[in-house]
Amino acid sequence: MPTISKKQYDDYKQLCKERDEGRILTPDGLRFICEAYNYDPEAIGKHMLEVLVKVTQKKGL
Amino acid sequence: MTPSIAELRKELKQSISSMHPDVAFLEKGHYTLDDILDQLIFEIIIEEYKQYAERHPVQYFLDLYDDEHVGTSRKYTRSIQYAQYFRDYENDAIEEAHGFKLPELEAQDMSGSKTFEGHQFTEHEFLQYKFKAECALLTKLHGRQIESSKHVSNSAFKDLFNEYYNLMGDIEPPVNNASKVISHTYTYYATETYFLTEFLYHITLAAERAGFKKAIPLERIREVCVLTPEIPATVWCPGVYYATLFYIPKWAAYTDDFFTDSDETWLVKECSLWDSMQVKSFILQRGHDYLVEYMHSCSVREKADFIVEKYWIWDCRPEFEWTPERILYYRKLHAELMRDFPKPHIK
Repeated sequence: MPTISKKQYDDYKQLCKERDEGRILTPDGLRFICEAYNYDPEAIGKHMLEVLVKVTQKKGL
Repeated sequence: MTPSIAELRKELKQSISSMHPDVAFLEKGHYTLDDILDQLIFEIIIEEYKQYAERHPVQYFLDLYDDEHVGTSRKYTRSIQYAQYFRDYENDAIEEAHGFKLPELEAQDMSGSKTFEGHQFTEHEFLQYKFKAECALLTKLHGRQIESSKHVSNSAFKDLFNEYYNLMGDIEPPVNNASKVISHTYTYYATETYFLTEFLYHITLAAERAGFKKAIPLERIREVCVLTPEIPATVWCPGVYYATLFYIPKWAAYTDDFFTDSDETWLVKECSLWDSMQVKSFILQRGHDYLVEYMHSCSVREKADFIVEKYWIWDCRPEFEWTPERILYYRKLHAELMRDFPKPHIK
């Protein structure tokens, strides 16, 4: 049986938390954003920059 | 209702709240009510393990843990004899004080047909014997050679602690092996609460921060980490014998207070600790059989999950960094704090 250390387990839990709170960008999520902005590079870029500001403010980075 | 640790926790919280006249007072030190509950649940898991864990002969564990099999027979025989010597010593003291012996400390009956079956051990017991056989530090602590540079030089001192750190690290269990989570954590818990190896290191660091004052606050230290033979009855709780509250995850939080608290500040923490110890020990002792049976009806996975989530003491292990001043203080601290044992004469 493969073994899982406590550190790996904690990392996994953290990943699940990030995923559940929508903080992980999956391929499907990326496709959804691109489609929502009709593949307009400028609109997609603007959206990404806005999200980046929100994320960095939330994390205090 | 299906038995679960969450339900048990609710019941225990209710019991403590209805028992103690001022539950907030239990949180006047560094422990919270949740910490006390975690400690209580962990100890119930241990009590259940002692009663129901599978037992096997040494050979069974050798295949799992000691595949070299070279000189193992004598190695474990000596270790078992050493451990039994100290258990007998403890049990004699209990008998002298209270007129009875604890069966769990008595030697296994090896007479008659049992000679061929051999000793039967739980995984935790086997690991303790293995640790005792392989970890030279424990022998030096028991024999108190650690306290003198004539017997253990500073460089040997560092080596002994490094070996201890590595050996203990080797048995840190994977979180997906439920039975090992329980037995290995119990082994670490039992070793640390008996030898105080890492706690004394934390105290040494705190003493250094306080400037290595000459006087060691032994009474304060004992109140945190030593078994209390008797707590007299109060208006809210009958008297309790052999009370403990070894909440290892937060032991280190007290270390600076030993050196910096005023008498008044410490007195509040001391009384709070005293009450917490009394309430925890009373519930565990009085409800022992019910609590053990309840815990037995919970799954091994649930018990392991509790330890992983709430009582992962493996994260509390310090990485030892020794200086001559720290070694000197540790030796002195050990000499003043720990009990004397008569030396075993085992070949």
